[in-house]
Amino acid sequence: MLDIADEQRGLIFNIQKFSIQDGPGIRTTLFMKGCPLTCPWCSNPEGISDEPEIMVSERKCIGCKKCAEACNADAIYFENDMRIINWKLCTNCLECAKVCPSHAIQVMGEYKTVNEAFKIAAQDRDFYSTSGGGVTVSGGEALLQWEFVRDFFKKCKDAGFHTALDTTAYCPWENMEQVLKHTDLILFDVKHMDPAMHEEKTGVSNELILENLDKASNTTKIWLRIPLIPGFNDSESNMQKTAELASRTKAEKISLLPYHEWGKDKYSSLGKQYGHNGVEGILEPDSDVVNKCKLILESHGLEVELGK
Amino acid sequence: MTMTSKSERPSTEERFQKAVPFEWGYGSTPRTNKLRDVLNWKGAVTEHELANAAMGLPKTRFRAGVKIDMSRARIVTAAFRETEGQPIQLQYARMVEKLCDEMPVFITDGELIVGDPNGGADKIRWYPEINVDWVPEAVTTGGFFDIVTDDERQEIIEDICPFWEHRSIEAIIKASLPEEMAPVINAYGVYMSNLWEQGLIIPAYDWAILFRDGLNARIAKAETKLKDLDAKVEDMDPAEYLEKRYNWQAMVRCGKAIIRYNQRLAETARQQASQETDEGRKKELEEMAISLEHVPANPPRTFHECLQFYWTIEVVADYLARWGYGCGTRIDQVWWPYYEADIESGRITRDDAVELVECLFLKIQEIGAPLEWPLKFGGVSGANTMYTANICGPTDDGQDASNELSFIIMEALGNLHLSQPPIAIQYHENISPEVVSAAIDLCRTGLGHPSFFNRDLMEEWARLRGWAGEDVKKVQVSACAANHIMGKAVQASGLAPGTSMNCIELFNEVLRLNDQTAQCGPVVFEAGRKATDMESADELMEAYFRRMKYYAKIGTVSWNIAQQILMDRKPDPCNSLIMDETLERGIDLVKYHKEGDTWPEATPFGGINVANSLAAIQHLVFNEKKYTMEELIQALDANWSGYEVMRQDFINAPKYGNEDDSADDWAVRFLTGMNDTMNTIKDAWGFTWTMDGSTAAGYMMMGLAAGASPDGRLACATVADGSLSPMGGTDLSGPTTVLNSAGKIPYQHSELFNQRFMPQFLEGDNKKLFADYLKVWYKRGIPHVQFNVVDSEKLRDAQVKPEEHSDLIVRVAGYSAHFIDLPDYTQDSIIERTEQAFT
Repeated sequence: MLDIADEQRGLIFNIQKFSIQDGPGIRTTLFMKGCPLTCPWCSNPEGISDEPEIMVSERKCIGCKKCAEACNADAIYFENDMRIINWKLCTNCLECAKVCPSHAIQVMGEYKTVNEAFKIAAQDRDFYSTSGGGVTVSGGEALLQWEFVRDFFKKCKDAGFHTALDTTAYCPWENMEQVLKHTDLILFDVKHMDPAMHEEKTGVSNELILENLDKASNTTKIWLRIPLIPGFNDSESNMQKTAELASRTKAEKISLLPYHEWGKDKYSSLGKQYGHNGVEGILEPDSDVVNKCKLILESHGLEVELGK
Repeated sequence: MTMTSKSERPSTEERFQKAVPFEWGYGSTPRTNKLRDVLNWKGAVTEHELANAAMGLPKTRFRAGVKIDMSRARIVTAAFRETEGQPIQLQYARMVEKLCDEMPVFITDGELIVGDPNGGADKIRWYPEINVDWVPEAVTTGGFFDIVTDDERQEIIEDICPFWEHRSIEAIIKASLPEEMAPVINAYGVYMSNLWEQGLIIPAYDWAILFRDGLNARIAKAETKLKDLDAKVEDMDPAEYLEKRYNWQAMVRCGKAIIRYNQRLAETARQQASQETDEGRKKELEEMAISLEHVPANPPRTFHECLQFYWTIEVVADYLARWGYGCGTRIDQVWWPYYEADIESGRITRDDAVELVECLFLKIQEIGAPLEWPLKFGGVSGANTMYTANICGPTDDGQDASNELSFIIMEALGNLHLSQPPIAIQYHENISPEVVSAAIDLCRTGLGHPSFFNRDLMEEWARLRGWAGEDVKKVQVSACAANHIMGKAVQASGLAPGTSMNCIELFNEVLRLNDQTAQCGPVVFEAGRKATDMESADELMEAYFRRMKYYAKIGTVSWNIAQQILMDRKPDPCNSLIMDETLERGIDLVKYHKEGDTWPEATPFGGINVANSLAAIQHLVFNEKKYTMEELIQALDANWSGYEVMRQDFINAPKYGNEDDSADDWAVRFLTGMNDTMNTIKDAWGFTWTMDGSTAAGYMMMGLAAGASPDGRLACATVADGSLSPMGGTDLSGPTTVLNSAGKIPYQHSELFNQRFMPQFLEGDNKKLFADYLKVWYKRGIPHVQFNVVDSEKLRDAQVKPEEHSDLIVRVAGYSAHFIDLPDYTQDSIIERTEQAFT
């Protein structure tokens, strides 16, 4: 693919058709690999690393042991027909996935050119035009691969598709600005309004993020999405500040996404440890807390919906 | 669109969602709630021991309390005994007379619509005049044991079956086949040919004319015809004279018998009224008696009489007089004038109409399917009469024909949570968004209703079959997913005519053919190269078409002979009276339909599996050269056992339903190639063979009879569950992608296409997106779609605790059934059907 000099390639770990939670209408969502944030509750851990990596499934394994034979690092062995991976030895050579006949070991992350990704997205063009849908680029952090996203969105806009960018906005403004030229809607993930708290959990401060968002709001429509993490960002004062942000950036819509553990099982499939054990042991927010947050936001005249 | 103002109509979403799915209350009134409580559920399940699936007689089990109905079989046998030697039309007329005069009639407390083709509400009828060879075994060791008493068993084995042993239509046909060909024709496997014995015709009643005339006017017409005929006897060919004379005589007798049947119901109503202490019910019964004496002899005067007229004709003409499988009709259109008049005059309210429709639907649900050959019974396991209620569709000038009854009909079914009657929405360009929204609400209940049919393609079907002009606009869905033209007789395409084709077994046969010429009677198969010498999957596909043509030619011989015998030996005077042209000309319906509107049809099962197999072979054997044909055949012979890694490669080869041309193109070429091949063969009357995708639940039976296949499927596993559905579990890219793939298959004939969604995708804001999704389905030119809306958790729970989920209804294929009535392998395949999540 590198021989196409002028064409960007993006590292994508999933292309999801018929997305209806990522912007208006029926959409196709591209999940881009790689993220500079380290939110411990992340439900897409396969999107964190910016390199292709393996993800394993016990259920699909037929016990043929081809992976163990192919492994260059002796990281895979079988005990009583159970496949065991010593993740510490894994060099990420991906050879095991290449020989696995049953897709029990799969590579997460595939490079696609703008044209290849567009071709897939364009398959559902009738659904977009009928439902007011389009394409969404999510992640990981999509803006890590901003040049790809810029070109992909441009191509989509040329074809008349609505474009939505699902982002944490953690990237240099000049990169984001390039992408926004071809973006109809920003789905902005608000983690926390306080810079220190933000940095404590996500590894980065929110100053650049909020700055970018303020700039973006001058040109682009914004929907806010708030993952509601009990004990972290569900306090009244944080909600008040979030509401102010929403008003200031003229956010059309706010989605509250109560924390869920659905992504947890993926961690062991990637050889990773799940790091979020809740704040003071509380994991999922109870409905009172969710409703309270919703009311605070609504008291600022904002439209709030509960996501899942 | 005519409808009452919005404020008068309860929101369907609200109405259906007021109770938790599968744990709801039923019926819109205490009456229908009570009637539903006492309803007899007659769905049955056929169980197989997988090891010898295709060999042994399967066991069919019914819900407790269901009994065999002896009265119909007894009466029919007596009628033919007493008339032996008479002209066949008069024998059948006598049968109808005796059925109308002697079948037990009953009115269940609270019923407003009455009449039942079974001799009791808890009984199941059967048709010894069609076939009896399976019956003695079925009632002794074959699984029908529990529904028969010892005395009944003795009567069946010693009296009824011996009388029909050589007289049933199936026996006559089987005895008349060319000797060398008979074993091939009767073989179960590649073809399931022995289905034509039913002589199953769906007369597409023109209700508007029937309601306008009433039966008295039709009887008078036949009597006048008889007089005129006698006046012309001098100049007539005596054979023609006799045929018409017997036909019209038989029609008159049948018509009068139907009227007497309702008079008997009227007497029962009066008698019950005389003993009734509840003044309200007493008055109701007296009014019902008046109506029962009025219709169907005379045109209905009210909406209630319209529904009773409708039901009486169905009971007698469709189910008592013959082995009927639901005559689909646009009920919201044909009932409309009577509803409108009653509402305008203030005779009834909208709620009264909902209750009346509910009363009718409870009857349709309760009558159940007849007992039949257990192997075939399994093909419609849990099914009932497949009595398809068409609603919506366009007016003659292309506007939306939906009316308030379209809503009432969906609402009635949603209130009651029944599997019958299946509702077919005729979807078209100008369909009202409001009616689509109500339809999505009904889908959301998980009942499997309604299914959506592309009206443009129904009309295309009519044109492909040679209809023109106004007739094209009279197209309707009947039975499972077949089409017919209102006012014309058409033989059902799903089950009876021609052959059901097990594509996988045929393909497996082709894989193992040697290069020797084969012969069955005069029909010759010119073998080409052996599969192991072939150089492409295309060559294999061509061999498949040649082999298919060989079987189709054999099938044509059986079809021709069976059709002639049906014309000679199985007239239908009752329905001849009801159809216009047969009445006018004095021709019998069975003979009439051979003049221009029926044809041999093959229903392909597992076509998608063969397309996937061809794609996998091209990919792995010919392109990548990873395996040889010899290795593949060995693996298939071993049912993949010992070839697990190889099987994974075949499973992961390109599959139809993922918008991958390297698989979808095979589906396009294979499915059109089959149709084109069949189109090259004509029957004795000059009609070309065609194919029909109304596979109903036959895909399970066909799967059981099919060996392992190169798409990675194991022997005996089910096959793709609709003629256009991807194989369960192989569509991995979501529902839009499946639509895109299915949309590539050019329209050739009716098809079945199933998708499964979880309920949340049809709720709230998502409802609009679902409606948009349907718009694209329509735009893609896919003939049909139906939705299973359930969650797999619920389904798995139902497998473990069936007693707690006795009301769980799922769409199987072409019809809905109670989940717990389905055999394990069907339950599994429904769960496996890829969950189409929007996420």
